[in-house]
Amino acid sequence: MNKIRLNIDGYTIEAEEGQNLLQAALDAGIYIPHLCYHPDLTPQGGCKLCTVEVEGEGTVQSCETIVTEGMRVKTKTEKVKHRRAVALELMLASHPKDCTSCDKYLNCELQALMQYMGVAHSRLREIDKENTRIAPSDQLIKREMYRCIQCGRCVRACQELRGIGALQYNKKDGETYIGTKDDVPLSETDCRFCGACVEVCPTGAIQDVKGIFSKDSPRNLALVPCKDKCPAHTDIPMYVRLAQQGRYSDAVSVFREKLTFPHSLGFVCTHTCESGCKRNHVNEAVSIRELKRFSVEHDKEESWKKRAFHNPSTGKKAAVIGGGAAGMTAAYYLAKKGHSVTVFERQPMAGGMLSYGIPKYRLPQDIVNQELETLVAAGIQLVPDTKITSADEVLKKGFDAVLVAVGAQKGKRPPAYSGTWKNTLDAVDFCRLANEEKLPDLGDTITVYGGGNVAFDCARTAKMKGVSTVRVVCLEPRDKMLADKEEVTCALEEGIEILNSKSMLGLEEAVLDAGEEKTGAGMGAITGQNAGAGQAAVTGLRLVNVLSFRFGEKGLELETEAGSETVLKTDTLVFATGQQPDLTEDFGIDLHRGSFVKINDALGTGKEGIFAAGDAVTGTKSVVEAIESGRRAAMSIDRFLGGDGNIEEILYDREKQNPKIGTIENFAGLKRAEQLCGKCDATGEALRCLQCDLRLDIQKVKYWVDAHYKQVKEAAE
Amino acid sequence: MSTQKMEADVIIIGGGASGITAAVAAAEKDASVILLEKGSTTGGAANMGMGFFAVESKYQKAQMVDFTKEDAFNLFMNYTHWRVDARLVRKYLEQTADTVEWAESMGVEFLGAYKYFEKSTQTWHVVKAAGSNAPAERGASNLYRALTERAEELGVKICYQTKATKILVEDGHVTGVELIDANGEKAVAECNAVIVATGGFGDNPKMIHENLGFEWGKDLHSFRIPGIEGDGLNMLWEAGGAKTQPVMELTYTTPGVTDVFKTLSETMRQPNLMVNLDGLRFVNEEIMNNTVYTGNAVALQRERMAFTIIDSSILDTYKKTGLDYITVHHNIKSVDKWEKELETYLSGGASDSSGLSMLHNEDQKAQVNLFAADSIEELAEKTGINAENLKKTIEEYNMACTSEDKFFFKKHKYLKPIKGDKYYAARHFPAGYGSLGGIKTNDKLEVLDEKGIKIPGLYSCGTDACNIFGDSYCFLMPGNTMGFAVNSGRMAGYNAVDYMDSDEFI
Repeated sequence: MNKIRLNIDGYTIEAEEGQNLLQAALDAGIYIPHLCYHPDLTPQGGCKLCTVEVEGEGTVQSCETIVTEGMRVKTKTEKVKHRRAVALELMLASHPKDCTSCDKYLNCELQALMQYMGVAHSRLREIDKENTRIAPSDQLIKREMYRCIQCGRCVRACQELRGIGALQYNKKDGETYIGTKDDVPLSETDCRFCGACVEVCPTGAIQDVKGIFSKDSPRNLALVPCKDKCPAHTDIPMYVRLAQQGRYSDAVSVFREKLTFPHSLGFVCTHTCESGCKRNHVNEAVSIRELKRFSVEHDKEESWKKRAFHNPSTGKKAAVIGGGAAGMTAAYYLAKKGHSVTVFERQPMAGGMLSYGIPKYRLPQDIVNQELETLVAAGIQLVPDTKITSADEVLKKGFDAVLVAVGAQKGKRPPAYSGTWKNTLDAVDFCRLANEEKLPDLGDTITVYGGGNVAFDCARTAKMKGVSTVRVVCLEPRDKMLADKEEVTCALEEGIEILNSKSMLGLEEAVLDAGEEKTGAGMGAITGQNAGAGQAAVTGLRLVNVLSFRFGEKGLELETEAGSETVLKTDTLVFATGQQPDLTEDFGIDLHRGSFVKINDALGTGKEGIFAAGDAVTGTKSVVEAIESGRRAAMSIDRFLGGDGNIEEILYDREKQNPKIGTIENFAGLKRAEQLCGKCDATGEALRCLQCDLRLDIQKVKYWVDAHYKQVKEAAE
Repeated sequence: MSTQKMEADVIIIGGGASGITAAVAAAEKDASVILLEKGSTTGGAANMGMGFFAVESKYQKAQMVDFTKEDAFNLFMNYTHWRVDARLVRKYLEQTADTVEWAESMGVEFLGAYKYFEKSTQTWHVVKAAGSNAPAERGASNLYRALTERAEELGVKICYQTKATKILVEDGHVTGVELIDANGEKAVAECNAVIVATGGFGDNPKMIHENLGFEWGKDLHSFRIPGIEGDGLNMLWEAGGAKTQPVMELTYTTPGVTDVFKTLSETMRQPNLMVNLDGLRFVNEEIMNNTVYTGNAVALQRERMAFTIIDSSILDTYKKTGLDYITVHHNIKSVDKWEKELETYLSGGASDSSGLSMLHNEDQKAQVNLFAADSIEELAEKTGINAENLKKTIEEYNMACTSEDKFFFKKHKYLKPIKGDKYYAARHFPAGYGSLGGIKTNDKLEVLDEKGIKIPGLYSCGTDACNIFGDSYCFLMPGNTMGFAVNSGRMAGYNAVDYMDSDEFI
């Protein structure tokens, strides 16, 4: 591109050939007020604020004037100032004065221009516009069109940038205003809710509805709520886009950048991304998790493998205690960073909760095994059937660093129920026994106390095993249950009873003779409790209705309904009331809140070289959170071992996105597919994505106060 | 955490009237200054304003205004029953005239000294807007542009879209500020002094409820200038600053009518009969042009609401003679648009014209606050005013109109009887500009702890520290909120530099 030299206000600057004068000045750090102009849109010269004087041409709109060699420009003459002031006054004549009720206050280009130009109000008669009020807000886009100054940026953004044209200039009763065709809500137009109109609107006329974006996250995350909500900040819009194009291998590469175990996550991820999905406000979230699973299952090339980094050996040795999602993830990245990594796993198989917690009907074991193999292939030495009882001991074996990622493998019950009964089980043990196919006889009736996902894993497993009466009892009312809605719905369909808003007052128990024993055969031996014949067994639960509850400083605080006590008979009782690590002080690291590992910001335990991650630190969380925790542990440990701590990798090269997304018939009405049965389903589902990330590609307009305009960038002599 | 290192002698939190002034003041004394501003531009709430208070200015002298510093001081102290810091009031009053000329030295022009209403003092120095020789809403933004440019010339680093989150204090001394930058990244900026000027908590309903007892949207419809969320006060209290009882800078409003249907609103804000839900008078309506007094009186009534009532004969009078009270900023002199606005409002045009803020809930948005009726009974039924008492009150009021108001001594010229045949009522609620005060300082704007001992290096100015009005804003001397903001900012800026130059600074 050829460079052109011109003179503005006495400064000689360089511009690109073909560039408009306004942009050339702005690029050089010379501020010229402008409102309808936006660097990503075709100039239309409507607002007249960018008026300048060009020698030999008189006053022109700088946005519509192409730079020429030797051009001499003045931007601050009295004539120019006068024209600009009149133009601004014209806009202000119909603009409401009550800026104080506008959410854009102090982030409004019009307000900043008033400040810059000193024009505070209009000397013209106030103009009452009738039609600007015809603008229903949608759930995502709030339109307060009486604040509109008709700069037309939104219309251009929608038409030329996006190729949609949902917004246009309308005419009614002699007034021009911006709206939709026939003034219908945006959801009845071709609008794809990309947010470009909001992004370019200089005033408060078109805004995001409050509460859609997190106020705490950095802007580049906040504006893409799925990515923001994902604990690992996976580039979700990108892989959804690639899946839509049928480029499954590339899609896999994108989430492989942040995730180990993607196939398993495709089955069991808690998909907080979907709760953030902006499409929830249109109709329903995109089936992000299903798209992930579909992509993995249709990835023939596994192209990510060719690009994954693997550093040469560092000669350092790291040990990971616990081969669950957190431990294996950390081990995988540490191995890639060139460290020699050994994982000690107390069970015969690695995978932690993926292998021993999540029921097989939700996540088949061969999928977990396959993913474990992929990780181990990065150079992990896996030592199964080995329980570590002291972290120090491992250090002494010559490892330079140790990661404690033992998970939360022990049931946690309400304090009053810590005793042993021959027919009670903790959910974590129940799930493990079920996956090992070692469950004892459960009798005809089983009661699960607790209302989270684990409770439903137990209940649904019991039902599948043929237990006739399965009940879930929990404190929460139905609409506030901790378990996923999907779990609750399935459980009810399977005939599981859910008793909501109940608390246990106590247990009814009896000592049964050996012959009378219905259940619990061998349970004690399996759970490690001494539950021989003659020991007490639970026969029922005394329950009371809960009006309200909260967890205060003293633990659970309950308000119960007087006289609502009932007794519920049961053959087996499962406590699904929480889990904690199976650790004691003997392990050699600081614990708190019972047996959880205490860590600092760098995941260090306070003991040189010993780190901790995953459920052992946080208590029971999701697989994706364990993975994220494992990644952070790998970074910290790598730094400790002398590395740079950088485990980021680009497994798919981003191309510049085409901003023109065009229209899709009935876009707002497209329904969510819960299951993706074929390529057609997957493409259709991915097409529903609002592509929130495209908004980040739109340039931000700099205000007159911007540091960029404090120094003119003059051309070299 | 950002690795970029930020440090300065003085960090100012908030770039509104007080903060930007403090920045210029500190930089004038050769301090390096960083200003942290949440928004994209400076001036804050004061961009909406028109001018500020000054006494014994050259304008007042030229306009032969008979009001001295001594008068202002005595008025202040009597108004507040000496329950405010007399030293701070005195220093503030002493500086105001000079601040007018200080602003002029930066290129700001003033139209002169103005009154805000008939009984007020002539202390309001209105900033001239470009191309206009009349007082203009938002005119003060010119002042903030000038201050911003001066700050930049003096090398102040202004960080926009940057939110301070914590004041760092070590060994009793201020050491820095934790912040979130424009990209949402956390960072720490180090400094020797911090000046907090975040403008109170007008946009924080929770703090309003906790500190002032009002339920915003129900019995308070004050301005909610976006972003004024009490950040500064919370940081100051957390850093050990002592709390003072904040107040609301109270006015009154007819939600959904005021600011949108200006003729309706201004007509219903004339000194005509005002009653509460019990149908009883509670105020000499003559004071209605003092919106603070009126707001206070309305706030005392049951459900914190009150009604002004007029009839078609009063409207006819106004058509002939114009309104009794004309406000500077609305400048509605006639009732020409009454019919058109009334029709729009009553036909439901009110709900989508956004007279009510998006912040009101759906019930509140549906609330009707202007009523028309063919009889007193109908009006009572529509408004919920006690019908029997209302009839009696109107009878008594009409009697008074023929002789005198023996109860509240309202002037005869404002006594207009209510005879029909059409009756109109407007429902008023307390409103306000925002909170005032909340952090204890001394007369140097140094923040004090619970024991009254200053926290070295910590300053607060402007609305966060504006405790000088006592229980109610001193509306009698217009321009005082911005006047205190600008002048206390200036004082805090100078004082912070003096502190760093003093022996006590280590």
